[in-house]
Amino acid sequence: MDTQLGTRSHPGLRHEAIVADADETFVGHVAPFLRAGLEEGATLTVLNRRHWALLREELGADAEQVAYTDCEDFYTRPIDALASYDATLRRLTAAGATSVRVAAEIPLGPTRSSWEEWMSYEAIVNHALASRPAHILCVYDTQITPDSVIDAVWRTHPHVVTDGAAGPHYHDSDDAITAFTRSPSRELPLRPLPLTQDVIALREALSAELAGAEAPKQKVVNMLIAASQVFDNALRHGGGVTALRAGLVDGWFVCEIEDHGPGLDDPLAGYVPPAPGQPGRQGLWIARQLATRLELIPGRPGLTVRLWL
Amino acid sequence: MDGFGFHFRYCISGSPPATRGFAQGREQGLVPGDMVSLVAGVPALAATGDVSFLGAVSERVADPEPRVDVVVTHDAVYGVADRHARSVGASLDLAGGSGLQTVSEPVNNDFEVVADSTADQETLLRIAFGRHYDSIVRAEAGQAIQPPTALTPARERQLVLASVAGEPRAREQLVEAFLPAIAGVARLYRNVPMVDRTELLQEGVVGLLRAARRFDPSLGTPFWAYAGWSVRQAMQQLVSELTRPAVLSDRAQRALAQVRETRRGYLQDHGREPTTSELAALVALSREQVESLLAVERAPQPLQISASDSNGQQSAGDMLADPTAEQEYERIISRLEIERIRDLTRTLTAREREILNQHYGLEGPAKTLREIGEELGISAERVRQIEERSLEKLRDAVLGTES
Repeated sequence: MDTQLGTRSHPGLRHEAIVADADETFVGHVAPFLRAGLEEGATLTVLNRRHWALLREELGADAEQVAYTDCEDFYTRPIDALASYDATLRRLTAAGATSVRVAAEIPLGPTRSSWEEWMSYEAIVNHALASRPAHILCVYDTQITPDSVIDAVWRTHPHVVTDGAAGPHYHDSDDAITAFTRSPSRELPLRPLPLTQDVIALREALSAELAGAEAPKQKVVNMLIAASQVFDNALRHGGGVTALRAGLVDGWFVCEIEDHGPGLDDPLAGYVPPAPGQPGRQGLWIARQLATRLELIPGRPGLTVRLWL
Repeated sequence: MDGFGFHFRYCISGSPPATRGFAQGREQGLVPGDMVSLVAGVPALAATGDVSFLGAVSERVADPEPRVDVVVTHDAVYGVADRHARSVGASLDLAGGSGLQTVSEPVNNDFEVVADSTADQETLLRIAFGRHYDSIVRAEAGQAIQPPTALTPARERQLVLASVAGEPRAREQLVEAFLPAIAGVARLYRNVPMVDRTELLQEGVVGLLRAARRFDPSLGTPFWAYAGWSVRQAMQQLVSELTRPAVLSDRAQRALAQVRETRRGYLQDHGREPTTSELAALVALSREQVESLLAVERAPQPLQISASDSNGQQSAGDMLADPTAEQEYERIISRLEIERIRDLTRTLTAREREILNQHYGLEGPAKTLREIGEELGISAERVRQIEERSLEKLRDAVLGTES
């Protein structure tokens, strides 16, 4: 991993965390971090309102120059957060910023699975945004963060600052990335759709199923596009489609597309924002954006992509 | 929390109409005790500009056996933990008119009461002040509170007046300035199933503009102090329409099972669905009870989030009463990069949309490429090409690379 090499002459991601056990620790680190950012380039804060209020007091007049987004609006789903970072960094870079500092705070949900999901996200960020000129400082408040998450913070951030002491405790591992992305093996009671290698026939069959499920129009469009992308991948890289299934599971519309392929050994598949104008790597990224959830299930015997709407 | 100078027995928070309703209720003997006023009495609250109204009832209770344990309103109910909010919100039937709702014991065994008069002060305050609680505590401690926007009072008044006068640019700026505050209100509902965030924001914008029209700047009230309530009310209405009580007691579950069973039997015997009245007669429950039970059954359907009425005729878009609000919504929301709005089809031309709609039955029955081509006077192949191109556009929109 090269993420620790984010120097100014070689722009790249610098991904740090601060584990703060008191408001003073938080303010004491984040305020100077942002002030330094104001001298270098653009600064963003993606925090909860309480932390932002503390920070504004500390920053005084400088706060005017710091952009603020409520973290609840930004961190809705991991894939959306990645897309937001991608778009924001692209926009700021296009506007001439050579470095962007971000103080960020993930609003962890109430469930263990959501913690795991966000910790996988933290691991994915190291790779997905590796080449971006960004310095992201993730804020974790020990008072509201579960211990298991704090443990994961050390594994997923190349630098962690705590009580003034900083040091590398980073273990880049596929485990961290796949913690959530690993697919459940549960078989779902889906109906087989007529097998076809024609994307239009797939869309027609799928839209009939979606109409039966009374899916809202906008969601139908999203599913049709997501499924078309996956279908296209199966034709191009998976040696053709071998099975199509769809149906309602627990009230969610689910579609499965199975191919001959061995599957993807890259746990980051579809999580890395494709460079603009670079065709061929966009399919899964698009599908992940549009589906509520996308699962990759290898070895059935081919690869099955399961889309949840 | 003794800084308020009085002791709470009952708490009420909410809108000015709610307060009026509360006062009326008191005249009618519904609410025993004296109402102590409020915002004026707590300068820190008045300073927030983010609290539409806060009220409290003193501890001096005349009635030896008070009927009312806790008085809550929309705002207050949705300020507490979501689990409670949902169950209590349901039990109170929050869609009601005055905004004032009362809970008397026993409300309804199917739901729980968030707190009663035996709850400690902090609990009652948290219920009454909801999400404002922390900021109020901070205010009491002498710490600054964020205003909802960066607008000066003068600029705010100017924008409100100009937007009511029909100046689109002013309306746009007004909505934009208050959008974060509206999003803050929308967050109260983030865990409510079946309610789409964008629809909530949309309703919030409608509420804001409605408030602007009714706002009287000469009274010197901060705009948000007035509009905040209107925004919440608009969202609450949507939430009430889209959600149904989901917390059921054992008794209610048994009743629901009975209703289901009876309906199935009726369908077999008569070959058609029974009406609600017929069902109610068969299971010996009131029509309302059957309706609410059936509503519960509909609830956990993640797909059915669109706001259609019982005939499935009305879309969320149709519910907008105010076309200027709709226009504003489109313009403002489209600028919010982070919102990740998924209405991709807006990037299409009318013909492209038409072809997608017809081919995939998005509005009416699906048609083949050939049928669509015949209607439009072009070949099926040409229709296919147009469809491919429009899907490509939609893909590009997802990538954020559209022109």
